[in-house]
Amino acid sequence: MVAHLRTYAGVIAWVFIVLLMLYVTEIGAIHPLPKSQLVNQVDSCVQPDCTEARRIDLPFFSPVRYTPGIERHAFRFTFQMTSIPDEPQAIFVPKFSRDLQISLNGNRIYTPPDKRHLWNDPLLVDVPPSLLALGENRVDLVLSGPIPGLLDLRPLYFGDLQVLTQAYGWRYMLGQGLTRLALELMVFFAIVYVVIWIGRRQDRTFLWLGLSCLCAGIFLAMLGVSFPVGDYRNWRLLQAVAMSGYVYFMLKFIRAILGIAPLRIERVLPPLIGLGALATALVPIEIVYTMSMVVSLLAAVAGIEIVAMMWRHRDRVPRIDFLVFFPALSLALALAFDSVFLSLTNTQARSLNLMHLMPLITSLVCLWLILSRLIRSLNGQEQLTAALQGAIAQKTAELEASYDKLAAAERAQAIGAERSRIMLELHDGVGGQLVNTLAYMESHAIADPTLRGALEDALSDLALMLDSIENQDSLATLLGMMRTRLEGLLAKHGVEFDWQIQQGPLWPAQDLSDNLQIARIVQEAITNVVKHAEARTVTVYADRDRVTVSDDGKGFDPADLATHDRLGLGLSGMRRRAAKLGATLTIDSDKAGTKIRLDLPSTPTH
Amino acid sequence: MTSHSVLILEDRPEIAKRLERAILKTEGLDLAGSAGALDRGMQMIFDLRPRVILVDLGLPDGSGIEAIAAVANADWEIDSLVISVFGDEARVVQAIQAGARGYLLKGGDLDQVGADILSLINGGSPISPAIARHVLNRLGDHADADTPDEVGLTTRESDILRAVSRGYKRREIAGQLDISEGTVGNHITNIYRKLKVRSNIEAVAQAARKGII
Repeated sequence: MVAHLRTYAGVIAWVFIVLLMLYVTEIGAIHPLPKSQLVNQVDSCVQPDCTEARRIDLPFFSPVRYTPGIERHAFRFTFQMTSIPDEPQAIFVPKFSRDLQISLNGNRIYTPPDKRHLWNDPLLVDVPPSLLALGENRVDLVLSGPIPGLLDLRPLYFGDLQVLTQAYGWRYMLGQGLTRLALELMVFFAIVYVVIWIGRRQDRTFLWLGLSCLCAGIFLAMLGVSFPVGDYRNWRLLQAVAMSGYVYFMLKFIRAILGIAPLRIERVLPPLIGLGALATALVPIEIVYTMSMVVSLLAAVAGIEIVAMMWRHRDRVPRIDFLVFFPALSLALALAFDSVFLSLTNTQARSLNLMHLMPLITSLVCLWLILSRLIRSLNGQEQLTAALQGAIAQKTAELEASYDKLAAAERAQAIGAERSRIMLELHDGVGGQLVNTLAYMESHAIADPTLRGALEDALSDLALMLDSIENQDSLATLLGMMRTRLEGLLAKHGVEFDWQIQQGPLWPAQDLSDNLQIARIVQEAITNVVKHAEARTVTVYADRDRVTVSDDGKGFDPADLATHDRLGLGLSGMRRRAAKLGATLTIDSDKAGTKIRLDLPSTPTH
Repeated sequence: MTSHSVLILEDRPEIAKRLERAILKTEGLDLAGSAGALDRGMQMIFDLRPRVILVDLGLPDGSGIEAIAAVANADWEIDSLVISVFGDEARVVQAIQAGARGYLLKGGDLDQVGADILSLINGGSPISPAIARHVLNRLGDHADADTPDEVGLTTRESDILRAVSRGYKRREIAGQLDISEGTVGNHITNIYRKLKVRSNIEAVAQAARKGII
């Protein structure tokens, strides 16, 4: 709460600093001009013929007058001419209100037109040289206006047409020119924003901005176009409502663009403005002004809220937007205060009201804000599109990869199914027959050691093949299965296993038949131990790099191999298989036993 | 000492005779009977109420799995063993999921058959390295799970299965893990039970997927 109050106080102080700067610039101040005479003293005539004249200083202000009828004031000034100049001459009145009639030496040189005089409009009147006289020349001015009086006349110029035309042009440009420019822009923006809103109804941001421009258009039209508005009361009413509507919709727009939730003040303001407008329409003419000022003050509150909100949520907009927006909004608010101040004090301290600049400034910075958003959103869209295309490319690649995987899995499944079928045939068909035949020999006491040995060898060879196929990806399990199958044979010969299969993965097979080759080598080595070594223990060791089979038997002399056919054949078979694997087979044998060591080829580390 | 009755379901007559001889010569085991077909075997199971059945899967009139599944819900104490030529894990695991306690090799020596049946009655389930590896893959190797669920393996169970899959015997594993051989056997029985539960869960899930239930 305290922080909020501090923000509001800060905003008000800041706006008054801007206001002060506005005064220091003295925009519209009336200074002497070359080749012309600045008239800042006139005779105020009480009688129409100006007999009882009283000299007064310009600027002149008349008080408020609410009684019906026309307020009228007559003035006269004289100047001396020693020669009639060759260059055209003119009278330039920078600021007056409301209607002015000018006569030179009794000849009417300017009559107010039928249409309303705009109080921001300066006046430049050509002075025909033929009407000028040598010696004293007399200019009569009649200032008139309806309710509420409040006539005014600033110091005016008589002199060279060219010089005064230039001064008039500047002043016209700053006042009426900019007002009409702003009016045209407001009408254009209002149409554009409302059309944008119709195009995308879900976002009301542009509706608020369009309505705000529409309100600005109304009060700018009252400053810059001579369309009839009606009497003083209507004029006040329309101006106050348009002004507060403008600020109110601007508040909604800024709030929407900052992306914050609707404020309470947004709900409170419309009924208050409505009440103020109703009161302005109904109260006696004397307090119409006060009531319309109350409505304008509501607009001022909304204006302070806008600047405070912008400050509080400055982190919600890019820094550059804030740096453009905040000073512009403050200046606009200061201009509005300036206008209210000029109007409230009735002093017209400065001769040029700049209120029309407020919507011009705010509209331009709003346009900036919208363009900066558009640029950012276009950039964002490009990045989004690029990211999206990247994502699509990535997903497509993933999809292709997963299709490939799926196809590979389907192939593997088909191969697996076919393999299962063949295995089943081997198990139940061939295996079952072999077992049945052995059982038959047993139950009929057929003692044919050759036949029996052949059947048993066929059965164990089939078992080894099936095991190596089922466990082709795990050498450890294949060796384990081999142990299970050979355990009975070892027990018969009084030999025991010392099993030393190491933890961690063993040598990974590179080829489908690799493990079968290793298993055959190991099986041959174990069989040799059982049959020839007279050992008590056979040690089987395996790790990632090698498999060894060693025993504590009697050993053999390699030189005897030539004479020992069976063993020699077995060993040469082992060497052949090792060569197929790319492995190295080393055989060491002495009286303490034999060690067969199979060093497997190194594999690429994964 | 009571004798345990054993019923054989095997269609190859020589193998059946061989198994019969193995049972008859084993002290502590009685032969309840022998059937060469599923129908006859089922009838005999419920007539004779044996303590153990030995089942061949490839019977002429159906799969031995049906007999194994039937005795899994029997109202007396009965265990089933699948008889296999080589103890191939595909069929043994299928039988275990149906409720079998393990497998028996047809071609093994006669002493071994009797010893295996007695070991089963005393609470030990036979397991081969290939079956251990298969179960590890199937139930997930929870080497670092402290709180396994109903069907997940405990760290100890995973350790045991890994050792079995490398070819270590029950006695050696007991020594390595500093537990008794009986405890190792209990673990394996428990692992088989989980395998059965897992297969039931999967069957339900598959049925749900197919919209059967």
